[in-house]
Amino acid sequence: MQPTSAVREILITGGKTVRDVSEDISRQVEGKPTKLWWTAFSISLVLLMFGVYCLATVLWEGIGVWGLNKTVGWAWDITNFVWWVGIGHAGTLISAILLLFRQKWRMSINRAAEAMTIFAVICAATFPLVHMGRLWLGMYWVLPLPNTWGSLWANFNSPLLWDVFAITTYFTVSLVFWYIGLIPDFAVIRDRATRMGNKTRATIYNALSFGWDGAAKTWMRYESVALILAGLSTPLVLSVHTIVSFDFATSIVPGWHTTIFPPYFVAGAIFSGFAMVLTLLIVTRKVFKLEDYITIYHIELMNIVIIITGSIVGIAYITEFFVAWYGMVPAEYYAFYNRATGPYWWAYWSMMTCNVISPQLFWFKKLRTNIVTTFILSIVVNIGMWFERFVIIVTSVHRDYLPSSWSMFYPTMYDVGEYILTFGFFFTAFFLFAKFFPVINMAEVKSIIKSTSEKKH
Amino acid sequence: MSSTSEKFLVGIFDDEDILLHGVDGVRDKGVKIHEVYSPFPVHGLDEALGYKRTRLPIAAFIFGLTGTALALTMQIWMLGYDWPMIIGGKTLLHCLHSFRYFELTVLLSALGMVATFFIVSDMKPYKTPRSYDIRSTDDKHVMAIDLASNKLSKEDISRILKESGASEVNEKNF
Amino acid sequence: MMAFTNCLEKRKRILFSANVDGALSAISSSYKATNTGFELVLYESCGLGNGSQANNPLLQELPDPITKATWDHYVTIALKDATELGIENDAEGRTQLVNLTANGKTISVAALVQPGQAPGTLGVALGYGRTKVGKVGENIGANAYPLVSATETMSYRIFSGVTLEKTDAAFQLAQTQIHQTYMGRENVIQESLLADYNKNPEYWKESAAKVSSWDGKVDPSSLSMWKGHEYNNHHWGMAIDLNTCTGCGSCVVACNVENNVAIVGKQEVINRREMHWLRIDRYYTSDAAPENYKEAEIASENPEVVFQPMLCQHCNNAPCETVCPVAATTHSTEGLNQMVYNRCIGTRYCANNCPYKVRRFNWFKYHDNQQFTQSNPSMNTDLGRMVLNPDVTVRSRGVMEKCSFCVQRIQSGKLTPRRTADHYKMAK
Repeated sequence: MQPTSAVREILITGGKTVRDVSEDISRQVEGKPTKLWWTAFSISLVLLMFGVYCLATVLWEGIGVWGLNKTVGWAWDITNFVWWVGIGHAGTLISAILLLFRQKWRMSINRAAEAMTIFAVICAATFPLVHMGRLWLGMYWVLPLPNTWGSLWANFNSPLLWDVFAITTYFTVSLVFWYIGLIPDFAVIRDRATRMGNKTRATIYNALSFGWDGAAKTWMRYESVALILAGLSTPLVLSVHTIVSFDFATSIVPGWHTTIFPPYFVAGAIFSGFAMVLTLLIVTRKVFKLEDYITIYHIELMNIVIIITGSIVGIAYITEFFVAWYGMVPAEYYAFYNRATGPYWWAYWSMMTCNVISPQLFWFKKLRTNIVTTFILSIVVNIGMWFERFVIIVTSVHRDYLPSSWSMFYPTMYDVGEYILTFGFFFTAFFLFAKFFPVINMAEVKSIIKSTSEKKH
Repeated sequence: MSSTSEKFLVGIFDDEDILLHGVDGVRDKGVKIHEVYSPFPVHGLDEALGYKRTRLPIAAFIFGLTGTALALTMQIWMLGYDWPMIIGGKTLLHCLHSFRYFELTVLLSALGMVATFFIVSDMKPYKTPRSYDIRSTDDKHVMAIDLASNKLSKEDISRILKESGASEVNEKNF
Repeated sequence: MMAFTNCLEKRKRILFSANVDGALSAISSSYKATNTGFELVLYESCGLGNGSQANNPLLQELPDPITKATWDHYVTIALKDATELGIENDAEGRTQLVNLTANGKTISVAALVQPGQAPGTLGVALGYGRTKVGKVGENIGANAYPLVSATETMSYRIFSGVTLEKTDAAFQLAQTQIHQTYMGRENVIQESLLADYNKNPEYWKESAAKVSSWDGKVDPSSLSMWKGHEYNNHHWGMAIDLNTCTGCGSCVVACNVENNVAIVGKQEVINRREMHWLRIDRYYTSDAAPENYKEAEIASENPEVVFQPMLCQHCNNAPCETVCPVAATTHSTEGLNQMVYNRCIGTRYCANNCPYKVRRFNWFKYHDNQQFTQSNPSMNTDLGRMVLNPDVTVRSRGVMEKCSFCVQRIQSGKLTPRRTADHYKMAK
């Protein structure tokens, strides 16, 4: 029997015991994958293969197979980059910032959210790499390394260089944080495998668990490491999208050169990230029957984060327009006029509808506790956030200072192909993760099961 | 397995609250606990066992400072002295470069601290830990007591463990 | 905006100060009122001339001074006539083919709506439609020579029997500039009448936008976060007399030849990827007020035209330099904004951040890509490569390039006297 607190919200339903947690979560790692999993995995793999073909063409022929031109030097590539980095933010926010705020509801979702972060950041990182004209050199020339021609170092003034440092640091720290969290859970699977007599699995998961034994001393250090990593990740996650926003804010392109970008980008990142977490978790909980761990209450809380960040983003859009009008800089004035009414008006109004209007529906409790509306809106939000980046990047740069160079951007199959590549990779990686790694942090959930679980009748 | 045999008494606890009381009970009776193994972190267990606070935060701080210093020297030397360039009319060294100080600080701090954690906890991919009871990663809290380091007899310790709330007491030799 | 209105007023004055009556009487004396259809003018275009140079890709890709079209043959038509015939030619160069009949001969060419063209007139360039000319110029456009009337005297102006028929075949013109007007931006085009200039030569300086600072309104260039650098040696600059420029484009060709600038062909011009380091911007005036953005995009029916040569300005505080992650573009101690091709990794950030949009990216390997053999034989064939300038690098795929102020000539200019002086000394 489980004692229940009258004050706390129930986070885990179904009267789960500590034992049940190991059983429920480890089961899908141990069992054979279902037909549904194989189907989904195969589709992702096909997308990935198509993307690889497009990528190979870009590398073989040149960036020219994309639709970019002399005026619009960045379009889908950097749009996708910012979009993916933004999505990545939710994972770190959930695991780090909510840990610092002692939000226990994070515990059921942080593992999957962090995995999403890792894969999203990998997807994001492909774009700055692939968009370079000479990837084979750019991959290491951006690092301050000495070279054979004398010591020409990198340009520390460039926001792109800040990006390199920010993204690599963010990726590394997120990966470490995620892995540290996985170690005790790998040990669970190892010990279950030993008990079941599956030697291969026991050996593999023992190696993955770094020989974890769960000693009180190790737990003490482990908790300290987790807390400090959370403390380090919190400013890091805020800094990453701040620096991504500097790619635009420090430039002189009207519509990019805006001081509001850092907070606006960070809010947008969390907004899209939570939407993506919802999309993934609603599917995952269904497929792996984890409804007791990822409850409607979790979904509602995430939807509340979406209302808040969505509204911040909406205010930012309006503020930009106000500043453009109030600032009286003709080029900027025109840039914003052009955004809303120019040739790309449809992108702008898609963004406004998806990002500002649609999340407001979550003010209704009925809608934010409904799985179907949440699922649909979570996808709508990410469509909107993609358009946001497209609007910022393309509509600003396609008509800037000299009207003689104004031009339009039309994507080609290869622009779309790179995007599909990352989708293919993201879902392939996520399905592999969901199959081979425990999707819920067992150790953390076990630690709250006594105080927040539903009473067993 | 090992040539010098080590004998342990292993008390199994079903619940973290019983465990915390149990640890106090066992220690009050003068029994020296080798270590407690839990499936999840139990708050207050380290204090009950009398462990000192970990110094990992200090390690993290030192690694972080190293990162800052590294970034600072790299920057000043590379751009200010080794290969100065006129870029956008800017001065050679200015405060806007400081983002990287932060990034390198965080990077070194995180990696250094985690490496230290693995080293002091003796964790590595090819290590096979001692398992006092295989259920310690599932739902049981396992208290291991080294018979060699305790003066009390095996039976006495076993009784004390039972009295303190252990659901079973087993013997484990390595 | 006051300053702009002043400018507009001045422009109107220019329009109406011309000797209209004199011109009118001159025309009416030679004009035959029997004209029923269109009046057709066959002309030699600025690039191709009579067509003897039709196989020269440099000339094929040289934008026409007014229409900014390259690689194409077209009939210019007034907006009024185009509307009547149902021809739609949008800003991006999408148009239809038309059948033009004169003197019993019919040719099929694309229609290009030309602001400022008198209604009832058509213009077609000669020199196109050559069939045995070489790889480059073959079958571009239609041969307009058969239209020349040779009944009385050789006349390149055909006053009667010219008909134009719209077809449904779509055609894409390759224009290097697809925005017609300067949107009333007075910081782009700064013009005044000589009389006004003589009255107050400081007019543009005074009317330029000011920035508020602690010391009141000041010139924007006087404020900077940075102390800047001193240029103690040479400090290069280039002066272009905008009063003299007729927009002919000879400088564009010269620049292409000197700097081994790749010729990219029609499709790549349509993709807005021409590589010209130096270009001539052509702006029309618009009837609309500059605040009326939608209307200001459309050129007047009879606009004024202004040319503006545009090339790298070698800005002292260059925005392109700051953003390059690998320092591939920096300032020299002589004030040149230099592009280091072999350091460039091609992020294109510099081009995005260039307010003049003069940076050009190598989207493909123009010097070794079968796709460009036809349009760019000077880089893709062994014989062609002999015309390349050995003093200038041929840029690889994936790097940015731009005007260097002909740094190779600057260097040679500095080194030749030095070498001669050395010889002189030695001879002594």
